[in-house]
Amino acid sequence: MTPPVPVITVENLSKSYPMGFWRKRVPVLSGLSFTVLPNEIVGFLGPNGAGKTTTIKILNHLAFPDSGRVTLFGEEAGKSPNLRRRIGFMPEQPYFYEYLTGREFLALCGRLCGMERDAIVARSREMFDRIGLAGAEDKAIRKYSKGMMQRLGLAQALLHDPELVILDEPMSGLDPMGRMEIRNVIRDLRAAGKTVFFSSHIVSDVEALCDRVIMILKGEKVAEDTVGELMGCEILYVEIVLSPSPPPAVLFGCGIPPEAVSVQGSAVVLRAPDVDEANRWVDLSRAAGARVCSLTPAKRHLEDVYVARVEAGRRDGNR
Amino acid sequence: MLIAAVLFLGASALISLRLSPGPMSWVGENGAADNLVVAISRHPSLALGFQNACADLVWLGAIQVAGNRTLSPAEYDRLALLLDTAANFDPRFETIFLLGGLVLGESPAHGRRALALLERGRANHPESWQIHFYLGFTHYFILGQAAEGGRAMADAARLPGSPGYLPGLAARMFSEGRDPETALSFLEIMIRQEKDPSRLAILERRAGEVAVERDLQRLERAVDAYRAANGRAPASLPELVRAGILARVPVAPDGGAYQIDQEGKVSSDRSRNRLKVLVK
Amino acid sequence: MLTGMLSVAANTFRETIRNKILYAILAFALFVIGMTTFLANLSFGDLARVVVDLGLASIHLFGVVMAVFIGITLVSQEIDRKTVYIILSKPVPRWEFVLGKALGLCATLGLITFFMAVVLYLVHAGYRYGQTTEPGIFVAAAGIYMELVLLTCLASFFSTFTTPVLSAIFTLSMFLIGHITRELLFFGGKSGSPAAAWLGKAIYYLLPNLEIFNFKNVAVYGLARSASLLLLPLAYMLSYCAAVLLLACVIFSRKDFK
Repeated sequence: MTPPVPVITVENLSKSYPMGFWRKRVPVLSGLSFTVLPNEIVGFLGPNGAGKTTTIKILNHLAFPDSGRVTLFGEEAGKSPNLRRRIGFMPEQPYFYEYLTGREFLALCGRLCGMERDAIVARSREMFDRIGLAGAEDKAIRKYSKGMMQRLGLAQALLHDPELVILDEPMSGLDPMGRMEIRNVIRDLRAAGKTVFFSSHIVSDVEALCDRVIMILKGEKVAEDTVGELMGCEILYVEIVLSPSPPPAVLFGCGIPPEAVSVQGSAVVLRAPDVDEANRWVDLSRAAGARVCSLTPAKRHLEDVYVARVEAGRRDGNR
Repeated sequence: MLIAAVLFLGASALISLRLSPGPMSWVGENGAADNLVVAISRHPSLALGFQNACADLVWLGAIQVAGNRTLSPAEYDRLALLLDTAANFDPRFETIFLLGGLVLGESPAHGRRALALLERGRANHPESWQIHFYLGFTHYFILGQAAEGGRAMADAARLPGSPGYLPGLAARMFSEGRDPETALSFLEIMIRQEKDPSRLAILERRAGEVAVERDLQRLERAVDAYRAANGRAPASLPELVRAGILARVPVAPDGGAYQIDQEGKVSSDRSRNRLKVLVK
Repeated sequence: MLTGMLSVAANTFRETIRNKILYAILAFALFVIGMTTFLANLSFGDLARVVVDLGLASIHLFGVVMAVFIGITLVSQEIDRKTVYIILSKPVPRWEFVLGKALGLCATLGLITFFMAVVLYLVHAGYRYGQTTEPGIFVAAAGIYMELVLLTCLASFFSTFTTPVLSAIFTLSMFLIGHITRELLFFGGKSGSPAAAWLGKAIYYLLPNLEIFNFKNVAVYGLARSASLLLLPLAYMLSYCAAVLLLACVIFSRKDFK
């Protein structure tokens, strides 16, 4: 079986911008490479200023790399505008023509994508319902709230039913309900066979949604893996809650080390270092007359990985 | 709040009233602005394509000056400058030359400038009989150049559109001296062919002045005759009528009255100055 | 074909026609055109001429203000507000975007100029109680419009690579120089040195010659009544605008959005 053609291939991408009075070139991306496969949700994670937006601009042909290669659907990016018909893009903090109404704006986007008039009308109606903007179609965008703008940004990216959706910080500035809705939209996209590539600096969004994560820091990739791999299959510890439980002294007597035991109200919590030990401790405590209430393996959070990498990056930078 | 706003607005209006030097003028009265406009008019393309509009604005300024009842020599200077400037901007603007000839000619000191302006007008509008006509009038009655005046008048008579009685007038100019009656005939022609009310007013004012001069000259002749008969000047003007020299004492066209002093000098109580060009 | 350009043009037309500043300028221009009748009453001599001259001058002046101050914001505002990201991420080539923006503003300016010309025509006709009408007003207004189109293209060109303030300065300088190029040629010829004469000539032929669109001064004398007068200026405008817009497209196509 031949491997599927990647939707996005980025090879050795470098980019610098002239900064300050002397127009000194400051590198923003250095040698970034990654791929995105069809029907994946890939999170692009990094702190502010890591080069996420620059990468996304290069993907959309808004900025040009100093060196390196970008292919989309196996074609050189930017060669033909038709390639962009297959891509939906939502910029960071989207801002629209405020003199238009939401409906007029979507109609403009549809025309720019070469859609037929009837299709534009039907798709716009669908999009307004799906992203929770129903009722605001004929309101001037000037009067939209920040959350509504974000939703409209998503609507214009999805209007022409693209195969690849690139979102720059889609959740920023949204309330918890809005984030939930956008997460659902992204999940629906995958169910419909689309590919989603989105950037974020919010770890929980990435963790909740993504198949794979690309983590960048100062223009360099620091990690690329599935969420599971990054978080680690290994279990940090296992938490055993006993209730009712004999007094802790009895448990110490059975051979459970005292530093692993803590009392929380009427319950006793044991923290076993691994699965084998946890099994042993369950047997021991049950033999001592305790009832096991819950047994929870504690995994690493993506956040921990992220924080560890960012801190490592800072140390490198300061050295 | 609203009352306070109105009060402040009123205060600012008062201050502005205090600060403004008097009635508004079109092309600024201060010399600097004038000089700039005059300088630009020497290179009309610096008007950035707004030559006609500039000509109009300067022209409006000139009219404000020309509209005054009496003009001081300085005002005539300014008028001449403004008219020259307007003509620089738009030499096709015929009225500039006509007004210039008409109003500048009123001032004996500005006769030459009136002539220069009219000659510029003739160069730009060789087909206009009015300009030739005004030229002839200025030459003849303002500058006392009978030959040039007659020539210009004959030129005017040859141009299409000129009235049929012009050749006769030109002939009279060659034969007679600088007679107020002849000048009045010319003015009557101008008045008849003039439709514009403001320019008409200037012409009528001028005709009034000439009529006063004609009356004064008539009275002077009567006083001379009286003095020759009685060896003294008459004590009053009605005395001339009683002596059978005059049919009646003329009434000045501007509503003024004629008077005579002890030495027998006649004058009008309205206009102090005599039209010197018509005095023989 | 060119749906992208036409959509951008239609949107720009809508943007500018909904621009409140445009109406402020338009209202002021109409006020001045109305005022010309009062100015004409101050005059004597050919009264209606003042209406035509000052009316056309105000159409020209306010048209230039609109063209420059809306023209410079056309592209730069889209970049500032990042709306350009959304448009360019659609299948629209960048040159279509640039042309569409310029085309849209030209459509607005065309409508506005025509409207002002109609008002002036009516004011002038009304002033003379319909005795004489001056079709030259429309020929002169068409000339003004061609100049506005050229300035719009220049403003779009400048705004593809510099800030709005600098674009405004550059475009206004072009307007000033464009009306005095003849003078430049004259001074260049006068200076005596062949280099200066050559330079003067080069500038004369390369800079926009806006005086050839000027029929304001002859309209009042009834010398601008034939639309055929506009043919050569139209050809000049089209080729000059094509050059300027092509440059703008080239620059914009290479632009890196930061």
